[in-house]
Order: sequence, then C-alpha cells, then structure tokens
Amino acid sequence: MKKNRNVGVIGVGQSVFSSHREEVNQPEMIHEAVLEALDQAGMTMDDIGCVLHGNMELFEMVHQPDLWHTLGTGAFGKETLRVTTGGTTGATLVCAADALVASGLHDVVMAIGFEKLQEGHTTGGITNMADPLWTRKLQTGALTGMTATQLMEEFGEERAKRASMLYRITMDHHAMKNKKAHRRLGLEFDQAEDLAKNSPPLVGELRMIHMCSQSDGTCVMIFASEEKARQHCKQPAWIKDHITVHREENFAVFGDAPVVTTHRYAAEKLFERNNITDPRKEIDMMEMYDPSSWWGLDWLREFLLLEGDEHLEMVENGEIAMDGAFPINPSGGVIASNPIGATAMVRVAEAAMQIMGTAGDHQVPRQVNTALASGFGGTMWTVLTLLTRDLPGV
Amino acid sequence: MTTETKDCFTIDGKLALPYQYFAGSTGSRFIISLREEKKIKGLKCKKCNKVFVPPRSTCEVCFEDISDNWVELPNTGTVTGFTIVRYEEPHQPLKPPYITALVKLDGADTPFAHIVKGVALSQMKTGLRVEAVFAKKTTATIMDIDHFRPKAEKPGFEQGYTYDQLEEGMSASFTKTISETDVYLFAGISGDFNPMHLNEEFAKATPFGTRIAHGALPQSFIAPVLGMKLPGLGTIALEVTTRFKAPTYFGDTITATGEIIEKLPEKRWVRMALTFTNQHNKRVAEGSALVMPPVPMKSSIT
Amino acid sequence: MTEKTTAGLVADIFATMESRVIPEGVDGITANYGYIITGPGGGQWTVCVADGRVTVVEDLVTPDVTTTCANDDWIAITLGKLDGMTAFSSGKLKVTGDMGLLVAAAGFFEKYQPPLAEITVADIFATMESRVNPDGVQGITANCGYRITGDNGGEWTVCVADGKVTVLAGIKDPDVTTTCADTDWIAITLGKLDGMTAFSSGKLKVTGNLDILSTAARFFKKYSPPSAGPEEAPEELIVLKQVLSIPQTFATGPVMGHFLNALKEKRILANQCPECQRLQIPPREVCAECVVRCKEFVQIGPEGIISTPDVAYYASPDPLTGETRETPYCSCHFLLDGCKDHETMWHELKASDIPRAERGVRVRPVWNDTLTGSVTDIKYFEIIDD
Repeated sequence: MKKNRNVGVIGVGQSVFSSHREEVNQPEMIHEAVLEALDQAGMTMDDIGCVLHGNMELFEMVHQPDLWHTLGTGAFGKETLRVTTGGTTGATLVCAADALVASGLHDVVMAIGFEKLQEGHTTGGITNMADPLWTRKLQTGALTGMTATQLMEEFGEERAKRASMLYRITMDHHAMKNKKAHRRLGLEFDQAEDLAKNSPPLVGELRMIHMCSQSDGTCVMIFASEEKARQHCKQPAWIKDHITVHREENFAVFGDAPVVTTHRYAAEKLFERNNITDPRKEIDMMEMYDPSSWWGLDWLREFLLLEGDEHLEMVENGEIAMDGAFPINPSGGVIASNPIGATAMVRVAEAAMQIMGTAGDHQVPRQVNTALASGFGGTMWTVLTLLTRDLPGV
Repeated sequence: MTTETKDCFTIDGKLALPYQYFAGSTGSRFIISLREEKKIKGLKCKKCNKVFVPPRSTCEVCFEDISDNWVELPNTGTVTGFTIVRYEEPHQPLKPPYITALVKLDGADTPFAHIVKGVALSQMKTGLRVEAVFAKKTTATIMDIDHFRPKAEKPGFEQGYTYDQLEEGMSASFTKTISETDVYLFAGISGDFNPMHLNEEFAKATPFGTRIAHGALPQSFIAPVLGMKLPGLGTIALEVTTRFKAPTYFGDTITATGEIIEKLPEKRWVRMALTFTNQHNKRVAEGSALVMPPVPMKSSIT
Repeated sequence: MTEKTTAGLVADIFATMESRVIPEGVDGITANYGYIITGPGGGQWTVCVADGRVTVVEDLVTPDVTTTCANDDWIAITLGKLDGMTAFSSGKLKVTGDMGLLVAAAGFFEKYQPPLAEITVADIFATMESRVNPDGVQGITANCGYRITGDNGGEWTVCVADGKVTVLAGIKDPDVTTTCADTDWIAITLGKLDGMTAFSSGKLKVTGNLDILSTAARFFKKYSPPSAGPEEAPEELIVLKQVLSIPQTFATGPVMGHFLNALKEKRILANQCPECQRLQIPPREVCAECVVRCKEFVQIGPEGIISTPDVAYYASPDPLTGETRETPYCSCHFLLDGCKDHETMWHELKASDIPRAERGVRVRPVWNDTLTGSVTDIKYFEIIDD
C-alpha cells in the first residue's frame, strides 16, 4: 500500500461490553469510550480533526445515528463521516481513518464503532441484508451450520467437534482475563464433551455455546500522523497495511458457495506485498473476527494459509492460547463480545493494544512486534489490518 | 442500452422488526418526572449555562458531564417554528391536518418538537405562547405531554370587569323580542296567571286593550347585562330596583341597559343606572342596581 | 449460606411459586416444566401451567421441558445473583425438551423474597433509640411500660423526655403499661396487626394513662427487620418497545422478473454465462466473475437432490411480518437436475422431512395453489419416496 505518511494508533477506548446497557442511551454509551480514548491519547476534543462514526445499518432501527450521537461523540462543529459496511464496519472505519491521516487531510482522527444489539433485532436485521425477492425469505440470520458440517465431513465428526470446543474454551480462558469482555463463562476443558453434546443447537451442529454473543458496546480509536503520534504516545501501534476484499455471491450468502474465500485471497495479497512468507513466524499474534468457534477454527487455515489439518493441530496443541506460539484473540474474541459495529474495530484496537503494551491482564507474555487483525461481514467480505511496533517505511 | 420490460413487475414487501430503545438513566429520570409529577425537567451545563430539554447527559459544545445538574422548567414556552402536516401516513400521531411545532420552554435553550392543538391553522404563528397539556393516560414517553395549547394570558376562568377595571359611564345592554311564548312561560315560572297577560278577551276590556307582558319579564333582561356583560361573569347582584313606566306588548323588542354611575371604594361595589326601552325608544321602565364586580382569581387554566 | 438454610430455600422457592404467579405471564400457556435440582436440599419438581394457573408438584410429571441445575446455582439464579443465560451457556444449567418454553417462563412469577431472619422483641426495643422521630416526641414527657409475654418476651420501659428517648430494661415508674403477647407485638410493629384492633380484641391490654399511648404511635420511624437491610428500590429505567413496520415495493427488473414469471408456469429457470458456462439460480444480469452479460436461459429441475441442508432451531423473525418463525425449519441448497457443482438453488425443505435431510437425497418442489411469481410459489421441496 502506498502511503503519503505514517499513521499510528495512539489511544483506545472501550465501553464495558454487556448484553444490556439500559442505564445509558446510545450517545451516552459512546461517550464512555470517547472519554477513555481521549484520556489514553492525552488529548481533548480540540485536538481531534475529524470524527468517524459507524455501526450496522438500521440494527437499532434508528436512522442517522451519527447526527444525533454528536452529544456523545464530541463531533460538534467537526467534520464527521459515517461508515457502514456491515460486520466489517469497525475495520472499514480504521481504513478510513488511516486514509484520512495518511493523505494529510487530517492530523488526528477519532473513529467510533458502536452497537446496542439489545435494542434492535440482530438476526432480523441481518436477514434484511438478503435479496428481498428471493433469499430474505430463506435467510437464517447470520447463523449457519454449514461450516460445522463441512469440517465434520473433512476431519471426522469427533475430531472436528472436539477442536471447535477446544477453540471455544480457549477463547473463554482469554475472556476471563479481559474485564471488559461480555461473556466470561469460566469454562474448563473437561466440559468440552458435555457442552458439544448438550448445548442447545441453533442451526445444524452450530450450538449456542459455539456462537458469538449479542452485545452492547462502543470502541473508539484515535489515529495520528507520525509527528503527532510521537508527541502524544511513547509506543504507538503503526498501521502498516490493510486490505479489503469483497466478493460477488450476494444471492447464496452463506450457502453452498465456491471454496475460494475472501479470507485466503486477502491474506495472500497482504502477505505478498509485505514480503511475509511464513505468517506464523513473522506475525506475533492475531485478533480474529470469529463469529463462532466453527468459523474461528476453519478460518485459521485461511488467514494463516495453512494446509491439511494444521489449523486443527494449532488448536489441539494450545498454540492459539495467550502463552502459545501464535496467540489468537487474547481479548476473548467475538465469541466473548460482539457489539457488531464496534466488533471489527475491537480486533484492530486489541491488536494495537498488544503492540502498545496496554492490554493489561490479557497482554500476551512475548513482545508483539507485528499483529494481524481481521474483519468479516456482509456477503463474506474480509478486511485485514497489519500493525507493527516499528515504524514502517513510507 | 434499452431494457426489455415485458417481464418487469413489482412485488410488495415489508420490513417489520421488533426493537426497543433504552432511555438510559438520564432519559428515564426525565420521562419518570413527566409521568409521576407532570413536571418537565432539563439539564443545565454549568459551564455555558445552556439548558437542555429534553435533557442530555453531556453538553455537546463544552463536552462536559452535566447529568447531575437538574433544573425544573415551567409548562409554558414559545413556538420557535412550526409546520402544518396535511398529508396522511399510517405512522402519524394524529389525523391530518395537525400542527407540529418546535416549543422552547421558558428557561430552556433547546426547542423540542411536539404537537400544538387548540389554535386555528390559519392563526398559527411563530412566537405563539403555549403551555403543556399532560396526557390523561401515561405511555412513559414524551407523549406523556399530550400536546401544547395556546396559553391563555387572562385568568383561566373568563371573568367580567373587576372593580378596578370599571369606570363611571361604562354601559352595556341586552335586547330581545318578547314573544307570546315568553309570556306564557313566564306565567308558568312565576305562577302569575293574571288574565291580563293570558286572556285576550279579558285584556280587551282593560285600559291596554290587549294582553301585555308581566312587568318583571322585561325587567329580568337586566340579568344578562349584569351577569354576563357589565361588570360581567362573576358579578353578584346585591339590589335591583325598578319603576315601571309603560306597558310591554307581545312582540315588543326590549333593550335593557346598565350604566356605571358610581363606584363605592369602601365596599368596592358599583351602582348602576338601569333603563328599559322598547323598539320605539320609549322607556318602559327604569331603575338602579347595586352590584359586587368579580374579584380577580389566582387560578390560571386548569 | 449454611447447608441447612440452603436446603430449606430450594423447597421454599418451589413452595412459594403458586403464590407468586403473575396472571398475564402465564396467560395462554399450557406446559409442564420439570426441575431436577441436585445437591443437598435438591429434589424434583414439576411446575404445571394451564388455564392461567400454576400447580407445583413435588415430582417429575410428564415435563415438556426439564431443567437440571445444582442447588446453589438454582438459588443464585432465583435471587438474580447468577444470570440464567450465563448459567445455561456455561453448562451449569442444562435443559432438555422444548427450549422455547423457558423463554416464556421468565415472566411467570413475582420476584422471590427469601424468608427474613427471625425478628425478636428484644431487637424491636433495642432499635427504638435509633428510630426516634424528633417531631413525634416533641414536648412529651412520659414513661411507657411494656410487658411482653411469651418465650420471646420481656419487660421494657420507654422513657420520653426533652425530645429524647431512653429504653430501659424492666418496668420503671410507668405512666402507662401495655401488656401483649410477643407474636402480637411483632405483628403490630411490622404493621401486620392494627394496634387499635389488638386493643379492642383484648390482645393488647393497657393500664394507666391511655392518652399517652395515642401519641406513642408517632414516637418512632418504621421498624426494619434485621437482614432485610435498607431496601433500596432499583433505579427504574425506561425501555421503549416498538415494531418497525415499513411497507416496501421491490422492482424485479427484467432478468429476475423473467425467472419469477416462469415460476407462475411451474418452470424453474437459470441463466448461463456465455464464457464460463456456469448456471446462475436465480439468474443475474451478468456473470460477476467473467463480467459478461448472461442472456441465455435454460430450464432446470424441477426435481433434484439435496446439496447442503441447514436445520435452524433458533427462531428468528420473518421480516415480512415481524412474527417469529416456527422451528425447526430447514434452509437448504438443492442441486436441481441439469445443474452441477455449486449451481445450487436455495429454498426450504418440508419440515417433516428434516430427519431424512441428507446430501444426495432426491427432492421435488411442492407448488402453491396460487402462483404469484414469488419465492413462495414453491412452498418447499419434499423428499421423493421410492
């Protein structure tokens, strides 16, 4: 990616993620994270040149939230842009902020991703994404058991079910260390077999325990030019590159689609142009948009360009644990917290926190020099963001 | 490129999804005070003194937390803008035409949208003084204020002139044609079935040569003057004296007039001269009255 | 919590259910909810809901849904200390049978109040000095003696002077003496027994200056039983519930319109990419991969095989109506005759065929009686029996 100048993440704010935030309305919930991010960046609203705002379209059933959230966002009198690209909204907000700062249009940009899923109807909202003339009637929200079916066919029912539960329980172990995570269940590995059998089925072999939560929450990030970043932050997380890949099968959204995935395609392109030949070695950790433990398990293979059953082995050997060789989602991931409009941004924010060393109890033990974050949404879109500890060359 | 349209048609659909909205602590306090106390509360920024109604926990200009600085506002305000909705849509709160207006409460800095009723569409104007009318049935929403209506600047009960407003020389009158029916009804009301009023053959033998009305009938026409015109609503009549000067025939049109002739400051009463004339401007009766004008009331619209 | 009280609580939770029923909550529901509570004090109960009434049986009786849970977890859930959903997700609470019924159960009962710790007469007198109502004792000088009988009883004197109250053990120079049984005195203090009624009925006897007693009612602020704690009402938070309902009209355009019109004649069409030759169902104007216009239509099916079935147990709303869909339903990709690889068509499989839904099974469409040119012209696909 060609950049005019470097862009660093210098502040992250997150509200508490929870299934219910009745005590705050939308702008008030956003405000919590805005204050935290400003505090972390050592800034006031006067330092912010532009505010980006994003969430899922119509998930709260209110229009133009960017306008009436000004009370909480601090965007009064400032340039404000709204981004809504489905599940990738948060990641696209990062792309937009990066572009605005890198281009020189603004020195400091604040990006806000939020969702109050408890106010709307997630499954219903997602169903409205489908073609009204055909698939809206057939869509099962964002839920599908097809990945589970395919993994069981490929690796055998027992191994596939066990690996997806190991993935799930590892994520819960991580979430237990992240006080802001929504679902912190306290699962233990010896529960795997019981849960895989007894957790209520949602669609096919996708069970409630596998699926991500529906959360209320906000994530705010502050992006600054190299000069500003250095003034305000000892160790910014630099945005080295990002890539967005869409595809065209908008009819058979989660269906029996061709096997080329945007995840693998995006990873291949991103790694190629950044001279990454062995991602498991050259990247230190990843924050993955894992809507279910079946997808998390399956997508490891795509993002890390693995072959055969390498992704199952990574999970089985504990490599994805916080202290493993390739930590995945020290935050607990999307399965633990999923305020959708914020979710993809939380991935980048958490990856940035690992580089900045501000992740607290869920900071991975090794120094993180390079981190990868993924966003997922819509009709199988991918956004990948690559962050570094060292300043990337422009 | 031209599109082949023979296969094109449309399909009706619907977007129907349940949702909820959390008002939050601040919003809930506002709604609960509407619901429980019928009071409108706002939040005031300590820095810029801006008063937000409905309340906001943050001042968007100063970016200050103002969520504990509650102020109570009156139910009255001024229309800062309005529009008349004339088209019909299923989701509208009222059947058109109706007025939606921005109302800035007295002491608030933020106008908010609501409905104004009780004013003719042609008379609606920016700057109109309005007051909140609370809903009888609560919905725990902003519609616990049912609507705003023009604020009556006079006391809530319509009242006649008070002692202080009255001046000597002020006069008012009431005119009515006396029909046969009036006389017969008055006979029934008073019990005075004197054949002079009711028996034409008998009356022919009297000096009047025909039936005449009871003297008290035209005299009673002073009641609407005193009670409804001068001093008007709220007046208490203390004394009425009348001298009858000429007969009133069926079909005569009688005008009863009262005039303020004296103000009695000690008692705050007024004395009035009374005249009763017919259609020929002939005085049929005259007299005087002593009345207690209405006393100003505290209450406004209830 | 000791084992003994825990044991009592589980039984008490079930024992008080019938008295805690919220009529609107159970309205229109007929179901038996079984509960297996493990651990000391556990047991099996069935909560039978029918005709707006609730009957609790101490056994498992033909439950439609059964919840299994440890005693401590069940108490914690009932008291609101453990989120039911979290307990369920983490496997602490297990459910068999019709899950959907449990959603309604959240609205069945008023909040459970655990029994209060024992209230003693001594505590009532011991807390009097701290509960003095300054306005109530203003200008009064009197000694009120109390002789409380029963196991729990004792003798006290409440001395009021100079706006202050001192409580002494024993009867000391009383101006008025009240004699009452311990249980009645507790009931009067808690407001469960009216003092005047107790006096009239002889439960409360008074000797001395009666007039003083009539002022005594205002001496003290309300007595709060121990352990109930200062009851702070939770902050009320307003939630507005609505259904967004917007009528819409969608234009089919020529290509989708052609496909939908063919359904009216019970024909299923696909269009074919002139370059890669793949079929698109439903058809689209272009092949997005080859970026060329697809003008050729071919008729496919109507029979075919199941490619990928997806059985949904989770009830989502139908956006056309806002109504919750019936579950389970099977959203399914079908490979119709004449198609290959991923050239599948997405539709539903007949609900009663769900147990036999497997890749490769032959199916046929079941057409609606009225054909309007929409996705619903095909009711569903059904398995063809040999």
